[in-house]
Formats: sequence, C-alpha cells, structure tokens
Amino acid sequence: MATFYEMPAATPTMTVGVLAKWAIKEGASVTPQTIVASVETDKAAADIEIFEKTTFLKLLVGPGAEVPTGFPIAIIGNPGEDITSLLHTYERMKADAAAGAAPAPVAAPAPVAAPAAPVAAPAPEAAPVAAPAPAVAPAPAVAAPAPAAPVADLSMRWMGHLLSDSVMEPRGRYVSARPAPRIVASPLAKAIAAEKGVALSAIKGSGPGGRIVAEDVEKAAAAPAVAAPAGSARRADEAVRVTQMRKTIARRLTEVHQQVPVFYLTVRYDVARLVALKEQAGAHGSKISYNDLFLKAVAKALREVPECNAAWQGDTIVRRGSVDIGVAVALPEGLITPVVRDADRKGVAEIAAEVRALAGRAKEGKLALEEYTGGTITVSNLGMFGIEKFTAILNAPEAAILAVGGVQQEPVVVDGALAVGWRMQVTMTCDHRVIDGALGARFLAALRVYVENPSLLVL
Amino acid sequence: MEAGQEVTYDVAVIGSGPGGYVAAIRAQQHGLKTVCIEKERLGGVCLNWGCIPSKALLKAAEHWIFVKEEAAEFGITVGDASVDFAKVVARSRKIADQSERGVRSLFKKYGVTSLAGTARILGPGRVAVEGSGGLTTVNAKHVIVATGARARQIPSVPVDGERVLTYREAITLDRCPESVIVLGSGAIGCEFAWFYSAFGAKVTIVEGVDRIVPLEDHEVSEELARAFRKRGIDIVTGKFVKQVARDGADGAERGVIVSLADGTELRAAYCLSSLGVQPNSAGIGLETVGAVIGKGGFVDHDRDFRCGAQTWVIGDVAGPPALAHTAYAEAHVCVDRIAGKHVADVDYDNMPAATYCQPQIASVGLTEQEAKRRGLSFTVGKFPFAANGKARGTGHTGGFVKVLVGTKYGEILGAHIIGHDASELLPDFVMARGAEVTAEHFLHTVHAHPTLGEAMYEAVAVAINQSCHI
Repeated sequence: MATFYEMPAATPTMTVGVLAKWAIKEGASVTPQTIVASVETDKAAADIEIFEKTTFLKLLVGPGAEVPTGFPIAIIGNPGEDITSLLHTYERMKADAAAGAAPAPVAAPAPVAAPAAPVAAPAPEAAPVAAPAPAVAPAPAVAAPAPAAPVADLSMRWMGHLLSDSVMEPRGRYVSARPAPRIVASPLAKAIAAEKGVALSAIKGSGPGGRIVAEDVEKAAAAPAVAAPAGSARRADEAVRVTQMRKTIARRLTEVHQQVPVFYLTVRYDVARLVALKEQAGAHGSKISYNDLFLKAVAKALREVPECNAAWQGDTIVRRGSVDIGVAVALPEGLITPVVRDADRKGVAEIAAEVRALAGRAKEGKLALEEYTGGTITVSNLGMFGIEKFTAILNAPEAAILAVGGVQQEPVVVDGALAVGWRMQVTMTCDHRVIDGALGARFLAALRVYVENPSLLVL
Repeated sequence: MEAGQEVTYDVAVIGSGPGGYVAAIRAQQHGLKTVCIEKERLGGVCLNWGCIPSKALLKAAEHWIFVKEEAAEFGITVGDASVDFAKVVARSRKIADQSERGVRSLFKKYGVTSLAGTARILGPGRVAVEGSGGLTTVNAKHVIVATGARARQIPSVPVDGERVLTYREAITLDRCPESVIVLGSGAIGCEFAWFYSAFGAKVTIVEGVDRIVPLEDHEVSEELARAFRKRGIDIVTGKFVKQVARDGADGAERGVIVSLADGTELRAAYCLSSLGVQPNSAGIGLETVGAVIGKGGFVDHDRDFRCGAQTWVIGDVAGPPALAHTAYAEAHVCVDRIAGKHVADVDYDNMPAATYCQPQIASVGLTEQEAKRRGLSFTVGKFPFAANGKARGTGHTGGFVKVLVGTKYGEILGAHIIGHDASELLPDFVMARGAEVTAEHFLHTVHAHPTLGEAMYEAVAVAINQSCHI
C-alpha cells in the first residue's frame, strides 16, 4: 500500500531539514540500505538510507526545499499503485500548513511533542495514510528518549549491534548522520559512566584521539552537576566544592588581610633597556622573561636594602640572611609560591630555568614542602594577563610583596617633549610593623637602579 | 660533519640508545633538523650490550636445553652434540653489529646527522662534542639528554672485568664459566643465571630480599624459584652481600669469594654483579642549564621531560623504570611536545616488563600484593599452562597466567605470566589495559585455538567465574 515517505530526523534535535538532493529518481525501486537522499540540518549533512524494499512513486519536493521533520517528501509503495488520494492529502496538508494549522514545507518547526509521545503512539504503523505528519513529528529540542526503542529494535534486525550514533524513526527509516559525533569511550569508561549515571556525551575525552577514558568519567562524576543544557533560558547556579588548597588560601589570606597593617607604594619604572636586553637574549635563543630579569633585580636591591628582607615575629624582627624569592604561580585550584633560593647568587639564566622547572612542578602538584615555603619576599606578576597595576596581599610572614604589572609602551615626557617610552608599574605591599614608608621607598629606589639599568644584573 | 667547527641544529640529542635514536628520528619526522651525538656505538646498551645480543645468547641456551634434555621425548635422537661457546657469543655479536647498522640506516633514511664524540652541555642550547678529530660546538634550540644508565657499582663489589663482572663484560665473555655467583635477581641476573646454568655452569643466585625477581608478583617469584632449582641453580635469598673479593691464591685461575652479611662465604670462578643500574647524569654539564640531579642520580624533569633551560631528559637517566620501551615512549612524547603537538602523557601505570630466561616472566600493572595494599576490591584468575592444549602439544606446560580483575567494573588491574615465551603473550593484556577493556569485553574477544594466548582468556574467565576449561 502506498504511503508517505517523510523527512526523517537526522539528529535528535532536528526540527527542519533542507533536502540537499535526491540520490534516486522518481519511479526508482530501492532495496534496503539504499541511500535515497541527502539532507542538511542546522548542524550536519546526513545521508538518508531506506530500510525497506519499495518504489519511489512520487517525489514531492525538490532540492533546496526546507521541510519539517515528519512532513512528506515522497510517496512510496508498489509500482503502479494509485496515489491520487495521497496526493490530495498532501495538498490539503500543505494548505493547512500555509494557514498555520500544521507544519509544512518552509513553515515553522513542528510542534513540540511530549518526549514519550512517539513511543506511546504507534499511529503511523496503524494508520499510515491518515495525516501522518503531526503524529510522527519527533520531539525536537528534547534529549529525544523517543527514538531509543526503535533503535534497539531495528538494530537487532538490521545491524546486529546497537546503532548508538544513529537515530531511527518510528517508521524504521534509518538516518546515518555523516559528521554526527560518535561517542568514543573505553569499555571501562562506559562501565563507570553507567554505574555512576554520568552522560558520556557531556565528557571531553583525554585519551588518544579524544577517546573518553576511565579517568575522564571519574573526574566528571566528581565534578558537580553541570548547568541545564542549551535550550533552557537560564543556566542553573553551580556549587563548586572547595579544595583543601583553596581552604588554606582562603584562611591565610583572610588572616593576613585582617591582622597585618599594610600600606602600598607604587612606582613606574622605565624599562626601555630591559626590553632591549630581553630582545637581545631572545635573539640568542635564551628564553628569559621580564619576570626572570625582575627577580634578579629584586634580589640585588634586597641585598642593598636588607631591612626589607625581613619578617615580623612579635618581639623581634627577623632580618633574613638569604634572599629567597617566592614566585606566585597560578593553578586551576588556587595559587602557590615556589621559592627561588639564593636568587642574589644566581645568574638570570639559572633563575629562569629554575622558575620554569618550579612552575612546571607546581602545576603538576609535585612541589615538595620546602620548595614553596620559607621565602623572604614574594613577586606576583600579572603583566602577561594585560594587568597594568594591582595590589597583592602579603605572603605571611614576609614583610613585603611586589605586584608587577605589564611592560607597555606609553607616552612619556623626555626633556620637556613627548616621546614614546617603555614603562612597567610595580606596587609594593609593606607590612608597616617592619617597613616604614621611607624604607619602602628606599628599596624601590634601589630596585629602580637595577630595573632601569639591567646591564648591572650581570655584574 | 667535520670536527672543529660550530654547527647549528633545531634539536641535539645526546645518546643514541632507544631513547636517543627514536627522539632523533621523531624530531626529523617533525621537520626539525637534528643531530644525534654518540660516544660509543649507535643503539646504546640495548642494541649492543643488552636487550638484543642477550636474546641471541638466551636462544642458544634454549636450543641446547632442547638438544640435551627434550629432543628424546619428541622421538629425536641426537648423536654427539657439543657447544662451541665462542660461536654462541660470536653470533650474538653479529646480531649486535646488525642492530647498529640498522640504526645507522634509519638515521640516513630520516636525515638525522650522526656525530661521534663525547658531549658536554655548555649552557642552554650549547653542546661541546669532543670527537676523535677535535672539538665541535653544537648550537641547538633544544637539547635532549638521553645518556642512559650503566650497571650500578657499589664499593663492596669491586668490578675488575676479569672475574667480577657486570653484564657489560659478561655479554662478550667467550667461554662459559664453570661456576658463577650472580648478585641480584632482577631481569639481568636471572637471565645470565639461567644462561650459564644451561651451558653447565654451577650457578648460585644471591638476593638480598626474601625472594627472586622481587618486583614481580609473589607467586611468580615462587614459580621461577621452583623452575630454577629444578635446573640445579642454587638460590640464596634474604642475605645481603657484605664483600666480594678475589680468591687469595695466585695464578690466572683465581676465582672469587663472596661474603654474605651472615658470615657465609661462597666461592666460584666468577661473580656477576647485577644490582640494578645507575644513571649517566654526572659530568655532562646539566648544571649549566639549571637542571637538578635528584635522588639516585636521576635528572629531575616535568611531565614534558623538560629539565632545564632548552634542555630535556628521557630514558634511563630520567628515572626508573630503566626499560628500552619506556625510553621509546618518553622520546615520542618529549619530541612531540617540543614540536608543539598535543599528545597524552606517558602511561607509566601500563608499562610492561619482561624477563627472558625460560620460563619467561612478563607482567603489567599491579601485583596481587600491591592491589591488596591499596585496599582494592578484586578477584584473581589463574590458569596453568598445563591445562592449555597448545602448551601440552609443544611441551611447554610450566607456569601460569594470573590476572587481577576489579570487582566493580571488571577492569584488569594487573596481569602476570610465567611460562614459555611469556613475553610474546603479554601485549594482549597491555593493549587491553591501555584500551581500558573490561573482563567482559576481554572475553567477548575470541582467542584463536589452539594457542598459548588462550590461557590469558581463561585466566580472565576464571577471575569472573566463567571458565569452561578448568
């Protein structure tokens, strides 16, 4: 018996498809698994395969037609069958659609059906001729649990295994969506996901070729539930569990901020020579950063103003014997300050290599306790993030922390005339119990000599 | 390349062992102009004095055991059979030579420049190479240190290269000693012990801890000890070596005296020290790039194998396990990352290991003891080769496959095989673990019959109570 052949849903969320081209001609007899057309959706291009032996009696739409899913695009049946009544039905459907009563080609998307509807209603099978379009319209914009049952059903008949990456219409027409992403996950990842109720589709795989491996699922399961999927107007709030590291950071920063009387000193250094030196080093293949050079400058300046290399201890002020500079390193879950020991006695290249190694280990969480404790001063640099100037909270018990902004070109006045110069701003947070304003200023002046004359750094 | 000049490359690799030569080829594949510096033979210890020539020697031992002990059972009568030990060694040297030529031709094929000489890092991106023709200075954007490791030497075991040997001297020793004391029972110790024993030497293994092959599962240790004792190898465990000395008597035939911590004295013609390896990290200028030589002499590095300014480190010198395939894996990841390609980290948890005496040992993942220590919930599946049809047909019925399967998800936590050519079976498990195949999927994978590999299938089946063959 002749029947409509409808625009299939190439993806669970597809509501409208554009018929790109027919792969068969009107009147063609086809066998199962023949590709009959290709369809474009908002997301993908898909080949439509047919899963029955039939004949395309009439092609209802041509290439380029935009057709809602479930709306007829052809009439199929046995050769020679009378299709007049179907053609009448089709004309009526088009007219209704044009009047806004039902979806039709080039009309608005099909109405949203309840997710369970297509499974519950076997209407197309029972009454294939009578107005199939609204009944088969699959639920768009929902995660489409509807096609699940037919998939399992037909996969047994046709494929021998689950077609997890394809969508089956209730009528049994199978669409293989060409670029539709197949979920590649290891068996163990699948087992863990099933047990923990984690959706594999929401996970980005870290294995070879983006394969989802067990660790990815474990991580996803440990993370708090993600916000509602696209389509809902508002994104839900998210409670992020606080790590032990975050807790420690929070406690210590709060203590310091509440208990230590601090003041801030900001300076603007001329870094034209520093820029030139870095370029020179770079041209020789040395990966030296502004921060590496700055660390060396701080170390030298601290040797000249050792009063700033100190810590408040209640009854005493400890003047630290060595210059051990903490370098703030950002981590996904917080920050840590690995320490470059005896920075005053190390060359810039050595400091650079050490900072890189420490930062690398910090990011892996492999720093030993002694590698991030016991610094005498800390340098926090946000220049690389485009920050011009900021203030930092002390890294107790150190008496000072230097907040370093970016190196940038700006208009400057030279000998009464405007010129273009290189500048960098540094803000020093001082523990007033240890460092008075004049002392802090003296240190920043000493630092200026080295930052502005970086050739002194190699002496 | 002529010595005495200054040359510039994208990548300079120091050492041409499994880590170095693969790193060099991989770098060329990424379009990086690469030089590989080697002070001895291309291919390093593995190809010249280790993995490869030792396999030649062990195969000779296996053939000899067949001729002597097993042929008759197969209905084969062998007349006057004898061993020309020098030829046994000569064949292994020929194979080492072939391997070296193989690396040379690979270098040619991929355009790697080979530079003979001893390298010393001068600073970031600068390496001095002292060769026979003089000094060459190599400038490179990246320097990869792949200097490997050598036999660990301890003061109480003074290696003299005559009677107190390491693998390095033993591999080319052209006669079979009448007696040997082997210190240490890791892979190298067990392989040489079995090899010399096969050719008639009186062999004693001394191991400080309470069992041989101490890194393996306890049941594997027991099985190997049983097999070794059956061959007449003496095993002394739980006793540390106090001192090794040459026999007091004069003359060329002076042997060795091995004094143990409990006062026992053992005597033999030779002593083989196989007490692990130590990294070649000193004296190559690593300090000039800010690299840190850490615990055990291994070079500290990050996950990308960066150890200092413009400097990277891979292979034995970068830390255990000291295995050629670990170095291969590290070379790939290191060089891919230098080339800016995103690749997953080296999977150290799935690093296979093998010992090539017969029965061989091959293992991957956790031992039963370690899994228990970690408090994991798992079942053990064990299948003896005696129950495997192929093994009975070929006469290799010794040993077993043991597998640990996680209770909750059916993941393969560890696999341990002891048996004939076990090392050739293990990849099934390594691949399964790498692909995170669960027991259920493992059993969904049909294993050909009759094969020794079926024993692996059966062991997994035993672990989840599905075996029909035991």
